[in-house]
Amino acid sequence: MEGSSPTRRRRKAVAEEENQIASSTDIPKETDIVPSKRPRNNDPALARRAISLLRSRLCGHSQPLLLPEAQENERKIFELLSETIRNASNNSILLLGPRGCGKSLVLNKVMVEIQHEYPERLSVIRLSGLLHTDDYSALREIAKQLCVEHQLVFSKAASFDDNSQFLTTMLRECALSHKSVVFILDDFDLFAQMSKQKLLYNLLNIMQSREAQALVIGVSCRLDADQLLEKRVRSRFSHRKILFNPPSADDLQKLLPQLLSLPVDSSTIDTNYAEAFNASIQDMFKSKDVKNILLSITKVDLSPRHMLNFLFLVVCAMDWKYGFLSLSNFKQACVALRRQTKLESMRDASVLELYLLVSMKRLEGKERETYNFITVFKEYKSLHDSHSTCDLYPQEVCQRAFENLLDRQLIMIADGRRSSIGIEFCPVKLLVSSYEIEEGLKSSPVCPAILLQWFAHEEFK
Amino acid sequence: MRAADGGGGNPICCFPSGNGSSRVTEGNALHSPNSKAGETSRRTRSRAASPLKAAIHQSHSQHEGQHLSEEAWIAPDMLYSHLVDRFPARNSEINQLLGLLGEPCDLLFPLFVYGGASTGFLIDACTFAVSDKAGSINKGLVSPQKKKGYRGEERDGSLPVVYLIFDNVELLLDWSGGFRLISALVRLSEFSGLENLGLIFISSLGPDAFFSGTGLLEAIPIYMRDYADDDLHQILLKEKPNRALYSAFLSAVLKPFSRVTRRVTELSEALEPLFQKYTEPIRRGTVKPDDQGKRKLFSFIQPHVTSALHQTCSLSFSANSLLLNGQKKISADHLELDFQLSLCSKYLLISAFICSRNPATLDATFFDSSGGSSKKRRRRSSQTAVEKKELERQEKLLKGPGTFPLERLLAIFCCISADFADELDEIELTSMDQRSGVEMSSDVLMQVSTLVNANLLYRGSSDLLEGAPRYRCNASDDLIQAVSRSVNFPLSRYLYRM
Repeated sequence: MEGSSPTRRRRKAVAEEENQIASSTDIPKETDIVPSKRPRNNDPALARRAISLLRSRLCGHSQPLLLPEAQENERKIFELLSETIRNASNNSILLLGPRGCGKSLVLNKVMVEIQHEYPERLSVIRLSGLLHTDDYSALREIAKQLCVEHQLVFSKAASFDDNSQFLTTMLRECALSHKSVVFILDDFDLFAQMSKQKLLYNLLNIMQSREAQALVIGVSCRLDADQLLEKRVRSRFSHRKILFNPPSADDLQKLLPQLLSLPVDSSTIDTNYAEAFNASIQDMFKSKDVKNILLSITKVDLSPRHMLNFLFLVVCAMDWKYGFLSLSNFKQACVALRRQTKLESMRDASVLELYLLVSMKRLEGKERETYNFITVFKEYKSLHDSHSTCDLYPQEVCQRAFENLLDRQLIMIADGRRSSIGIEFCPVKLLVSSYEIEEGLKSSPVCPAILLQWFAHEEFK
Repeated sequence: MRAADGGGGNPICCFPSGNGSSRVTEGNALHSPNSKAGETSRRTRSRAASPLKAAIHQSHSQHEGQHLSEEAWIAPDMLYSHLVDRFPARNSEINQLLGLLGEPCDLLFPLFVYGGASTGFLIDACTFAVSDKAGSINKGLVSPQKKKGYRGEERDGSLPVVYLIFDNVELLLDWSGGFRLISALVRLSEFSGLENLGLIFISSLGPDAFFSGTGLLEAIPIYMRDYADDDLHQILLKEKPNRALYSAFLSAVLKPFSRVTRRVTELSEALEPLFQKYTEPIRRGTVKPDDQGKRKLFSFIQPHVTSALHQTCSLSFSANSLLLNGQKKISADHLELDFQLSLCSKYLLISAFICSRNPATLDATFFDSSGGSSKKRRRRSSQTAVEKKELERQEKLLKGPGTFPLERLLAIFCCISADFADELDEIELTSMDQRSGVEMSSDVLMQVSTLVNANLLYRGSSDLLEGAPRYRCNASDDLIQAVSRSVNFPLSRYLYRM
């Protein structure tokens, strides 16, 4: 949480860029984007239908468009699966990659295909590290899913031992009937962080025997997920890994217009309108302003999920009376997605809160490492003693403002917990950098002039 | 978590069962602190203790076909103007939210609505907007059984979205495993396999607290800014009987108040007594509420503004101090306490204050007239010594009041009550004098525990080695000054000055 220097620098860069974008295009001129020769859409119902369609495409679970690398990965996983089924072998694999890069998406797609290709030859068990937080519940869930799969009655009262015995028996039975059991472990790293890694050990250990026929697929966003494994678990793991990298910015730029275009041959959407809409999208993505905005978005995060979020915001901002996307939609979405939370809360802070922040900043300037409300208040008072302003408030009022600052997360209690003495003696830390305070003071509509001086000149008394 | 009714099936029941996190939720829901209850006066509905419970409650009530809002159903075209009317100064936010929510069947990503405390109504606006939509479409809830068939169908957006709203998500951070629960909730739609889930998280903390560093899937942030001065004027004016007069009052007082705080709850609380004062001349009939009268009223109220500002803001407790639950310092505003204390407790309180402020090594110099380090060596204060002193003082400020064992408190109490009791001639005192001077009766110990109960003394954890509990004086300087004045005790003579 503490702003170290690289993040501060990054924030600074982001902020500057934001200003550029905001200043360069203050007044949206929608007519620039859609030439007047194109027929104006006058039917809002059409536009609403188009928005609905785009939204379900962006947020739905079956996102059809895959990037080239993902397709390559898809092929690899498919081959591994079919090989496992055909050879009746045991395997394990890890799918690694940052969040939102399509690991689960690709996996789900492959599973559908493989079930189509080899019907009745495999049963799938899905676990998630977020949901199944201990061995007991995980094993129970496995038993349950096995029961559902094979039309058995699941006993709620089954103990841990019962379930684990059931699992072994089932695996053996499945192997005898040439059925592979696929375990998909979502958030694999969380399973690895459980105590003793009993579940992982059990699963991988069963696979060592010839009796079972199983495949363990771990999905994780931690690239070092296999390093988390204990030695006895790691030695049973195959160390096969597939990496999912975020796509390049160029690929994304090509993909985005496709995601936003409407189908021309649909029954629900008028063909003329769809064509006009698609043409306007193509024009938009060629314009320089939109390219700049996309660049600023992709600079932060390249993952497809991030882009989908962005496009979702763009589509939601669309005015259905107007019927087409406009440049202002893109700008709005860009601002909405990249919130500068600290600056926003600085902008909202009251005058007294700003005074306290500057006092803390000055204390830091004096190389005071720890400070609490009492010392901050002393500094605040000493400033006011030398320059009488109208903003000198008694201690209780200031303490209120101090608590508000804590609520706003501009400061935090240094050791993370409130001590029993009371809030005024807890050591606190600033969560905003000097640069952010400066920006915040400048952007605040209520900041008095003298406060800026106090901030700028440390020796100023 | 399982749906109680057998018919349609509640949408939340498709959450994979047998999971750890949901058990965590249920377990903790009973204990979760309902800390913000004091602040919700502006809400139409009270917040539930657990976000998950609230969500379940809401989806249940939807299922029963009840409208969540007390108002009648509003046509979609009128929704925007209605909301703007109900929640002034929130046009852009309402616009954005309505855009994101879209039509009843439009799918959406998880939304994360956040804003400071007491930007409260807007959060209500959000629930209102959603419930209004959800209320009109409550027939078509999906059951998990239908889901499989649905996937094969051509997806023509025929299914309405089921909205789950999680209020006060920031409380989850205090739970054990809270982070995990939140990340599971954000991905609820993925886990359940339902596309038409609308997840909305409402929090008073920004997204930084939730989504930073954990690599979690980010929800779309929507910020509710604090109200500006004009907005506050508009809001505080709402539902006031005499609008013209109140408006004039606000233009006179709002500016200085908004420099301190811009929370609507705090402001309305603080302004109420001031408005009573403002209208006093009118009620007495000395001033008529016309333009001339307003000018008079303005000059009449001006001197009161500052004092009201200083008093009211400190009297009302914020959510934070409520969380501290009584460990809030008793401040000088509670001076009525002064009159309820017995003389014995006053002396106890003073001695406790001395114990907390003075280092224990100096007790002998202050209280033992015969001994102690009587030979005062005056050393020339060198540069380093001054710096050292300064450092020491800083340390002291940082640490707060010190702790002391019961024996020290009683010893000092004996000294000061013996010294000063005979200087006063009160009836109560003479009886106390005989008792406390010579022997420590059980009454005094009773008084100590009373002071602890009244939160003037804080009873800390017992020392590991000694085994006896240590105490700390919780009273503020001002209060002690007032108390010592009331018994004519020369406090400053006994305080160590650094």
